[in-house]
Amino acid sequence: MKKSWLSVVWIALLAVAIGLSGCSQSSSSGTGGSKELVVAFDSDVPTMDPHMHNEPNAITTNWHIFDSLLFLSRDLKIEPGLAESYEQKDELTWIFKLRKGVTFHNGEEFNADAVKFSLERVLNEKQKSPQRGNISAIAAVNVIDPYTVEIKTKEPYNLLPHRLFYLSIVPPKYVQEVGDQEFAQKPVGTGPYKFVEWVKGDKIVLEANENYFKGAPKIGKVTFRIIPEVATQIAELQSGGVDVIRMVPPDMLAQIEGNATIKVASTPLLRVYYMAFDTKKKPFDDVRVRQAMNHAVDIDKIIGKVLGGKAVRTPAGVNPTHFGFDESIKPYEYSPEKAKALLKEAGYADGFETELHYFTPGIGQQITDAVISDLSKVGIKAKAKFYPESSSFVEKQRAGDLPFRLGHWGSYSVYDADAILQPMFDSQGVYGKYFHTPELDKLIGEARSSVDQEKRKALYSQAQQLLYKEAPWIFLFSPMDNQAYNAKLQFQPRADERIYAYEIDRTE
Amino acid sequence: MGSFLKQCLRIVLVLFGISSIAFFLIHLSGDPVLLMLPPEATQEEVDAFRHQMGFDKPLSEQYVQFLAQAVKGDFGESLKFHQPSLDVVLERIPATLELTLFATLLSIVIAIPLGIYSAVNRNSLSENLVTVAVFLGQSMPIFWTGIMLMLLFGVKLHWLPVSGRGSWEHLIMPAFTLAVWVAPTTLRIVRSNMLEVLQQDYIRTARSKGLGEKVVIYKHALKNAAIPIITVIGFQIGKLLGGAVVTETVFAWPGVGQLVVKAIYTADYPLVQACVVVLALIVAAMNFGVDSMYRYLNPKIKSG
Repeated sequence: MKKSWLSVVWIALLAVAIGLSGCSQSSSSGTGGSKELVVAFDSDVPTMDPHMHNEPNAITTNWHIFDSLLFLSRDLKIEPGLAESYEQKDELTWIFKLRKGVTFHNGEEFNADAVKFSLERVLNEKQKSPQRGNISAIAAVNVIDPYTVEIKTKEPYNLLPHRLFYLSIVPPKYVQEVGDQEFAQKPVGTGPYKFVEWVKGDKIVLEANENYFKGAPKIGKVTFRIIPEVATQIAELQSGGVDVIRMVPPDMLAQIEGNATIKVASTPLLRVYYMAFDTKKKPFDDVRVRQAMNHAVDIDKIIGKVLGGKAVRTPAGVNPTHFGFDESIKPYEYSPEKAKALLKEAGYADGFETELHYFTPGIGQQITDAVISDLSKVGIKAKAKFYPESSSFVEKQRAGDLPFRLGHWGSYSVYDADAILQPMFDSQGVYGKYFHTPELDKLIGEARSSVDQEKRKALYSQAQQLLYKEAPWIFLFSPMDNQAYNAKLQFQPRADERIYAYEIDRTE
Repeated sequence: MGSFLKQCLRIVLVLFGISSIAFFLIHLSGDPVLLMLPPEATQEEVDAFRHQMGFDKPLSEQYVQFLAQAVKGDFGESLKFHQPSLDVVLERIPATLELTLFATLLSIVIAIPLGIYSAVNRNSLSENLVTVAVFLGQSMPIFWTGIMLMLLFGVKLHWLPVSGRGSWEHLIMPAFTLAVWVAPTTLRIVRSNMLEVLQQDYIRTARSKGLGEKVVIYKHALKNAAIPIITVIGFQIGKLLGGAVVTETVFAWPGVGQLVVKAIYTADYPLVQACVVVLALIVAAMNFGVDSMYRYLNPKIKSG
């Protein structure tokens, strides 16, 4: 036999492998500053069109390429963005004065038309933007002059400025010329970074916009690398392949801490963890049972043991970073005796049996285990019911079929108590059917439509005191985001789960 | 030619079966509408979306429509990427093929020489060492092998990039992880077939004619042991594609494996279906290739 079959196979495979790896070699020569930053993402972004998604990684990417009318500073204050200033003319009318001399990355001029185009693009039902709900309070956007925009709301809406942080302003001419599909692949904005390339599933590369209106960024090139596994992210950080990783699980922090080239920062998140009762079902219809269960669980111990201390308590469901948080409310004290006494009063001296539903992977199970163990000490036998995939859990949760469940809520990154109280405890809210009262409805409704911040604060305090007493949840905690980063970075984490290269510098 | 047509028909039937299973399994697993919409969505929005996606029609009707469009390569728009699902999958296919083929190559490079070696040196100390290595290679979970390699060659020694795709170096660890996982099976087949063939009369004849040992082993014995070996390597490709799902996730390799995990996790039905059908097509094509190679090596084999 002249041809050895083996050598044929080998040569064929080699040829293919060489061919393929030849194609995949990329050479990129960046311009601008020589400093680079590599950030790990846990999943790819769905699109580069800033109006067509609601995903955290995509929002972070958009922030670099696009600007919005207003910014949220690191310490959660409203700052001017593409709007230099704004004022509320009357209850329904807001006037925004725009910055002059700003251009999009392709040279297109930024002006009032761009603002009108962008807002109306999201509001247009045909566009099917998932962000429409965010600004659905807007009734009309009117151009007063090239640098003045008037926004009318349907009803008094104090939260309008908050709803504009994530609303990217896009270039009307470019979007109309290239069409939505092309725009979703090659975005053009006014932001501090220009889009360079997007290798699907692998990385997104941006370079500094030297003409940025707030000054050129210090980091010349930013790469977002898609690395789904936390263990891989940590290995990359340790080897210098990436500079920043987010959401490091508490039990993996130990692996990083003690490494001189890596720093860890923990920031409080807006997210809130809770165990919710269906207050219409027995035995949770009795407020004493609900209070007893709040006394029965040692939440401080769970924070210490499960979360490595990286969490803060949320005594009445509202997060400390929400506007309206009432810090005078002290969390339920851990006291099995009080719990037992309350249960006895409610007629459950021997406890009862129940099921605790959850789907949250990771810390969800550890929290559930700890709570079940504490509940057993006062006679309540809870059985964990785990849902391997979230859709059936969400289905049942919406249908009101889960009498006792572990959940968490991120408030859509709106730093206002309304963003948690309305969906959770208003009778019209998504999960309002589990617990609501006419009084609570009134407080939430009044606070929502009021423009007087002091008055709103007072209303939210009343709502929280009511919630604290009624205990519709076992009020758990708000976890922190553990970010680990290269010690060469000058980096301060943000409270809103974003990593923003414009605020970062590095020493070499 | 008849056998070729038969093979093609078989591939079509397999694809039909696989896509049907994918369709029904996915529709049994929960309501995608609730997952795709933000929790703040009102009931009207939920209903409208359900109607828009066609999820309100009877399952049988959805199935017929799915098949009619799948034939045209249309699996619907990916719910996450807002692009035709097939396009999303095809963008990722080169990365997966590159990894799978290179892993196959590596596993052959590992398995065939070692298999021959352990057959020729049966019951020696070194053969026992190979057996232990095989046992280890097979029993380590891919995930663990991957992380260990990464920590050693990426983090400690800095020889290779930890993860991602881009250069030759990026390919080595993920491909090796997969190769170590599948090589033992090939190695065992090589060993047992070589042992069998080496005891045949014609080998004895060849030796008695005074042929060199190398010629006897590589020309006479290996050629005759090749058919079952090729079968196994062909089947391994299906297994490798399965292993690539884990490996791609561990090494952040931007292929279909990673994509399918995420698609299942986010209930992106159209995308899952496109992934499954494309992967099935690759496996079917591989099996077809193996069959053809059979006939090339041994014309006596008739296709059944």
